[in-house]
Amino acid sequence: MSTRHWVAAGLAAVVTLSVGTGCAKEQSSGGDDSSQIVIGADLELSGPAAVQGEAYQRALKMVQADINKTGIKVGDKTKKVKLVIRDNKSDPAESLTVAKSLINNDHVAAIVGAGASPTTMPMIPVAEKAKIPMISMGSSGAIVNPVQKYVFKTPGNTDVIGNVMMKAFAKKKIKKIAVLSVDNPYGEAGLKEWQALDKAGKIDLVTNQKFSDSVKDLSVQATKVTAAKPDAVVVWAIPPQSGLAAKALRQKKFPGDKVYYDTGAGSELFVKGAGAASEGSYMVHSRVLAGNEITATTPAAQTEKNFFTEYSAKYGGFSGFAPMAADALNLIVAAIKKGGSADPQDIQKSLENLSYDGAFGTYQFSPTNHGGVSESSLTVLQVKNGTWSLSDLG
Amino acid sequence: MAATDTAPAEAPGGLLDRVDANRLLRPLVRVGLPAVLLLIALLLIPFVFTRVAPYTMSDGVLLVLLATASLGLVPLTGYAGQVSLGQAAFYGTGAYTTAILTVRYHQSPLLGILVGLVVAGLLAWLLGLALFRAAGHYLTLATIAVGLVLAVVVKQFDLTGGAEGISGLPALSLGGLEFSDDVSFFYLAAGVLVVASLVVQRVCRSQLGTTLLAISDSPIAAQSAGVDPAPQKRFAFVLAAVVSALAGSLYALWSSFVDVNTLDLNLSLQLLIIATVGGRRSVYGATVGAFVIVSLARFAKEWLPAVSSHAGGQVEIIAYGLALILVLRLLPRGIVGAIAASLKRLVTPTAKASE
Amino acid sequence: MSELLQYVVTGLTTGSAYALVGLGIALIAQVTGVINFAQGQFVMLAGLLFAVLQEHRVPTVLAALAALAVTVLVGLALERLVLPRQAAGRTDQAIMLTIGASIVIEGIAFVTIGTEPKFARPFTAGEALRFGGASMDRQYLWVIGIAALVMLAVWLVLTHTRTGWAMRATAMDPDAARLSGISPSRMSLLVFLAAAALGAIGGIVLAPLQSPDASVGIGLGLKGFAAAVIGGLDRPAGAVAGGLAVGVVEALASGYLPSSQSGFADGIAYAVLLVALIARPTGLLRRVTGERV
Repeated sequence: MSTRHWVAAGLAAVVTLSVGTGCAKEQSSGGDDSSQIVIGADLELSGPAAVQGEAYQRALKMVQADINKTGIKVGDKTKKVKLVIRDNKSDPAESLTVAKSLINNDHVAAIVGAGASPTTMPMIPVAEKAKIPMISMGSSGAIVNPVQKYVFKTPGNTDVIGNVMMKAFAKKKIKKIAVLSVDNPYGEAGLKEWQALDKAGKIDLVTNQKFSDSVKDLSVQATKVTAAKPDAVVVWAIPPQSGLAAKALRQKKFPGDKVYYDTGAGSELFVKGAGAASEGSYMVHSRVLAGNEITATTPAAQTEKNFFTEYSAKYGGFSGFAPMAADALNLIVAAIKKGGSADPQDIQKSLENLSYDGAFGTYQFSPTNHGGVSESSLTVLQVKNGTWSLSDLG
Repeated sequence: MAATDTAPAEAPGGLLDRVDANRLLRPLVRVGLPAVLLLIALLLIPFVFTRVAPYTMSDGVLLVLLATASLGLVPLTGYAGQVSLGQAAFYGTGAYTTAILTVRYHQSPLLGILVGLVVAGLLAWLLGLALFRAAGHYLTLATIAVGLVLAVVVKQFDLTGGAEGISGLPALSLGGLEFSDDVSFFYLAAGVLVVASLVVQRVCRSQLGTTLLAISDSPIAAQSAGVDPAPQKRFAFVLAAVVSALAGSLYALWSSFVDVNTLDLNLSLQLLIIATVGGRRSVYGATVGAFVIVSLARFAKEWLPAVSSHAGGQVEIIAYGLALILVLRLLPRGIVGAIAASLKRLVTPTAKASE
Repeated sequence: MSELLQYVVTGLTTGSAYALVGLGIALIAQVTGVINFAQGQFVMLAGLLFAVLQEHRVPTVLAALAALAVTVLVGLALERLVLPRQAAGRTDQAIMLTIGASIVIEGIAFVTIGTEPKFARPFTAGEALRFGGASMDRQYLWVIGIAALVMLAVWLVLTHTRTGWAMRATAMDPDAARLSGISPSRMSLLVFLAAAALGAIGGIVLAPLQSPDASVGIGLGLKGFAAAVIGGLDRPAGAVAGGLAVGVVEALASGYLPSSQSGFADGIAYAVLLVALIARPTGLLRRVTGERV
């Protein structure tokens, strides 16, 4: 009995102590430190989307370090960026409380995140109400359509990616496609885009298959879509399912160069997972993924190349998700510089009229366009000799 | 509250049952005092959570919603010994029903909540009919399966918003009062929690609670005494479902967004951990457990990034798991049960002998 | 026709993975009455360790042995440190403890190994096997072969050794077994070690196919429950049949549901589990509820 007694007392002590230190902590940070601009990040550091979240976090830390080397000139002061990164566990409810806590407790000037569409959606009314600008890395067009005053995003919208693929299909004379999509908001957005294009008579969607984000074998799905004899198969999935799709299609002797992936398919992880089966596959992504091949003839291309080189050197490999978060932070910083103010409402005003060449591509925000990256920044990459390279479809 | 007299001496919250108090006052003290303490604790939350650093008022709202959702596990798991890992299925059913009625059919949020309760209750009753014909731990597996099946099903229909879920729920307003900000919503949800706690406690202290305990401690003896356990367990199951759905509906209206995560197995796990850590046999355990879990989450978020750069949520998950294991091994009655036992010893030293 | 063949082949191969997980669950449930929620984590842990060691260029056999050893140690820790001693333990408490252990194992794997999937090399290189229009990854031959060997071994131990006899006796009536000199505590330990080893072997042979990450344990565990319950929790052979059945039903559902409904295939295993629990509860429940009075 006495053990229980002590454990109960111990637990009570821990709780009291934690509340106590919490108080102390608040007092110490009480004085407003005006030499810093606080920017929040609401990321998927655990849960199903943790692979993305990890890349976002690395990119943000790298960009933060770069910015703080010189600092940002605001008025007559040089300020540094303080990043408050919090985990939303890939859970929309958690993302909602993270957003509220960033706004109410950390008094952030702007938020980077969330990193996926479902975690972004519940944040939107919060940011709108608090009048804090946020830049999401979610791909769903619903984030910025209809336009909400304080909500922006970096990845290409689903319809923009659809357009890029349609142009590639025109070049390759592809008329009939089949879609393999993961059964979550990301895959659903992709599938809906192709269903809409099919309805509009622009392409013939002969069949589609949804699969769960925990599936470990896609042979059945691959058998089904290849049986419909499409000219090409479009895959809307992230690793490791994107790699499993490549393997399964290869087993059905479906040629790699007739398989098209969305940006989410992943860079190194995809190639690693799919192995030889990935050879020849196409993916719509920013040029940055073929960083080694970029000839830096324009400042925009130079930015992309630099980011690729720096990130790869620092973390020993590249992630296609990294530039999206890097740009989100850089866009906020660019808006602060442009408006000469770190006030959330001023940041919003500057963002809304900002043109910016980022690591992922070029952004031309306007009151009617809050993202993502412009169509001209996206290209069609191809796996050649086990790495993503620029293709003839770009 | 006459039923309290028939409750076993070791009933939860029975801090003072050995004090030689006036028989008429005793039930009042036994039920009233902890309830007043709960009320005071809840009323303190807005003052603490808006001032103490890592907490926010949304944590406060989440705390009372999670506590409400796990309340039903007191009769079901604490008394009847049935481990349910499907509470989220009913939480999600409430959330989705409210979302569909308010967003798709433009009905009032209040109607959305009420229909949500009915739908979740019916679902639990039907499942209970099928599942409680025999006893055993199959309920755990069955409740998981229900949640997983529902989570797949809601992703397939436009009515439920597919994989994207339903957003744009209206704010809850009652009699001209709008509960759109966290503080006002907190008071509403806290009120719901107090009422729900008292209702669940009333059920636990009734003959039903005694029967459930007897069934759980010794199923075969109960059966040979002519007690058919199925209807009693089914009642506990339906009650747990309805209370959970209430929390789910409120969550939907608070966050104005519902998706498949409201049905998730992780949420069911969290609710089970809350009930167990707080104390499975006391309705006040739910609130204490929710406070511990929300605090763990918040402090883990605040401090862990400083310790390890690449593990926020995971370390927090380890903490949940460890909390569950430690409490089960060291404090089988949970925090509230342990505190109650200590207090009981303080009040009446003679009670020691019976422990 | 060749499609049907492909669906059945895929179903049997994925089903053999479920069967291995289900077998471990059934063994523990049979001997101790506990439903082990951490069984899927044994599979995850061994698969992930194996893949990580391979990525660090540890030879395949050594990597497999190390992964097996660590997983069995975790099984030992689970039984000895986490679970209450058999005689005093209530099964609902023990079930919740395995849930806690499952969460902790997953969390530790996340923190130490990270969130990214890891990739192991197939045991033997080469193109996929083809027959009658169906194709199958070569590694699946290893999965099926090793699963069959392991299942045979379990059956031999249970039916032809004194330990197996003691286990079955404990399963049937722990009190009578204790009276005849069998230690239920020792049996419980043995069966947990065996289940951990089974899970580990499953994880290792599947690693080249399924690129494990720290989150796969729960999903595998759930499919394992479906396998064990459908086959009848008191019969290890039933769990094997149940696993294969779940795999085939899933594959057929994915194959024959119209494309607009293809999302439903994901829930079919759990729907079957639910139906099994509703339709034959007494038949399935016989052993586990014949518990202490």
